[in-house]
Amino acid sequence: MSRRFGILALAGALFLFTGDAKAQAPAGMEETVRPATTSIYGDTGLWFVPTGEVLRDGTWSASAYRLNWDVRQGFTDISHFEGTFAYGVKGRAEIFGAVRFITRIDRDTRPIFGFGGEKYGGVDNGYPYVREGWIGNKFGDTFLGAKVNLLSESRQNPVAIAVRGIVKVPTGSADNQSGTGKLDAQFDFIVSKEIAQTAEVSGSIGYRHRGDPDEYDLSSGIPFGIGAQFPTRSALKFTTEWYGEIFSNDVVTRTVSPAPASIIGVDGSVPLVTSDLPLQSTLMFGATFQTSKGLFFGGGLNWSAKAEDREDVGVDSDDNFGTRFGWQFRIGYHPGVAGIPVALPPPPPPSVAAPAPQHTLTVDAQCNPCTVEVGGTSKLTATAQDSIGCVITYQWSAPTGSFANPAQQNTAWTAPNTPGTVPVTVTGTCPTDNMKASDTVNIQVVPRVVKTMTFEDVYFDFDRYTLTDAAQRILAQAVEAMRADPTLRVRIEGHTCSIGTAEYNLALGDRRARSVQQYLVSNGIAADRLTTVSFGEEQPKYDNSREETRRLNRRAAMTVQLVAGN
Amino acid sequence: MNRYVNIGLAFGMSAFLGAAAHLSAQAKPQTAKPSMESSQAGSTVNLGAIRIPRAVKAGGESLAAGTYQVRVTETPATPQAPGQTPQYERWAEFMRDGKVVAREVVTIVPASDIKQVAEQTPPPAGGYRTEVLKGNDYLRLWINRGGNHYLVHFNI
Repeated sequence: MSRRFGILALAGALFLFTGDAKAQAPAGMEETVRPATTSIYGDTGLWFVPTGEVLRDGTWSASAYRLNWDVRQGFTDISHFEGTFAYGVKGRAEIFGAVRFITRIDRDTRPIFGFGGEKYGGVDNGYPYVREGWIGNKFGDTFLGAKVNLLSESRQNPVAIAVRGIVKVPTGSADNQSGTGKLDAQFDFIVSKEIAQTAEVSGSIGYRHRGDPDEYDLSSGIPFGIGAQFPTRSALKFTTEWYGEIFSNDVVTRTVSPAPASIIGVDGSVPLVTSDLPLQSTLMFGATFQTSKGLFFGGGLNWSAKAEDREDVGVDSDDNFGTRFGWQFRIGYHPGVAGIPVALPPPPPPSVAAPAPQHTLTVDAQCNPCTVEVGGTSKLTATAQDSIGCVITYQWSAPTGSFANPAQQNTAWTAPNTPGTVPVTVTGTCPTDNMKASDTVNIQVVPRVVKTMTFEDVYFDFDRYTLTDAAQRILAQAVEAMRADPTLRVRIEGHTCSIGTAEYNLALGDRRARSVQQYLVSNGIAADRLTTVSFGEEQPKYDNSREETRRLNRRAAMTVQLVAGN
Repeated sequence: MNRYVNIGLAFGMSAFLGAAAHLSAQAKPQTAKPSMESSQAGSTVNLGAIRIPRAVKAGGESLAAGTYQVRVTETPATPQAPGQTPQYERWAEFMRDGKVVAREVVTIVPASDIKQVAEQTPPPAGGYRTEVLKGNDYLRLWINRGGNHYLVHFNI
């Protein structure tokens, strides 16, 4: 009794040992899931052989098995129809159970006991109470257990290691021959590994304690198993296993004598005092189809090495499948176990918001003409360059004068009656962001010209500014005219051809204009009546593309303006 | 004795001729005129063979690169430009194989005035030079011959 309690306590301790560590992928790794199936006890396993992995936290599995195997004693064929269930706890353990709803046992030796002596005519260590040829469909035993995962490939351990504890609850009874009526307990150590995501190999070894009923001394044993399932990631996978149990005793002993009626065969034969108990060794091969959702079904064939062919010893059998072979069937659901985590793909680079297009706005104001007489009109034009396609609004302003349409892009401006320079400004505004840009043009407001008189041009030799005799004769006419009308004011323009740099020509034009000015002053014309301006090569009067006409641009022009009020 | 007299006469003549030549040079006006030996009205001045290094426009017409015989005619440029010196603006002709292939107005600057017109060192006497002006707008042909500088400005 104390030993049973100890086993239960061990199972409980294992359950508590699950700890609080929840299986999860390391930082930077992504958890994966790989397919798995159940074992016949309901925990994660190949088929008969468990594996070291467990269900992920909060997931469950369920399955139904048809189990079948042969034992030598009585040439007995044992079958179970069972259902299993398992639940994952924190990714480190699973609790599971299996209920053998139907247990069928077919014993072929006649008489029931005694045929062939201790080798064939004894009782089986697992079902010693079978005393008829066919027990029918009986409720069998129930198994409850827990498996604690110690190492897992999902945590990047090289192998998965688990310990498992199972308690057989004797729901099968001695009376209906489907059990011993006693509690059994089992402890297993499991090592498994998935190799190259192709084959999962697993091995287990443990200890199974069998509770002894009143009439028999049953043998405990060392259950073992080794197997492989492949390809693990394929829908159709194959399982091959070798499993069995090494018993601690080589016989099963009847402990009561004479045998009570409850264990005597229905044919009146009496169970032997000792029954041979050979090593249980079974080879199994199965195939399972599993969907991506975890649903699976499969069938398998096992071969009991220590069973013997009853025909060899003259025992009739209705077992058409042979006395060593058993066949298995299973259907169920397993959501898979945590696989080896994979490195997460590097996070996408932070999206860099496209820089807002830089908004540039420029406005250019133009006037035509830019020199107007008092009260005259200049046409103003604004040209905007905007980088974002704004619909620009315009506003013209000037300290004097008046605009026809000051809010229009183009407008007319009427000069005041006072001569002078008037800055006219246009401001462009982008309503979208209120960006503004301005430009100013200076309009020269000049007195109204009443009379214009132009003298004959004076020409110069190439690159010269001295006045020849012929030039002086022309200027003499101007001197005479200015002496005759003191109101005359003369603007002297200096021009050049296009040979030479623009700067040089501007200076040469100035020298030419001043040469004329000096001549006029030297002939009695007041200097304040004379103004000079150089246009250099900028205002050619003649074609500069050929020397024949280009030479005519080497000149000085005198313009006389008689303005109103003067 | 006669020998010494002859030598003395020779020296005396030489001194007289040298002094006369010096006085003659000093008598020239400050504002130089083109050398009349080559540019007088009614005379044509041959400036020799000139190589034009690139195609240009002469008188508005294309003139291929090549070597031409250049001569300055007696014809002044027209129309008259009061204030300009007519002798300084005359037509030059560019000839090949004895035929005139192009004409352009040439500006004549007496050697004494050349520094007022051009800061550059003139080509040596009897020589000429071509140079591109104002970026690539003009090709100047500058001939120094016979005491005058002849400037032809071709449009390129």
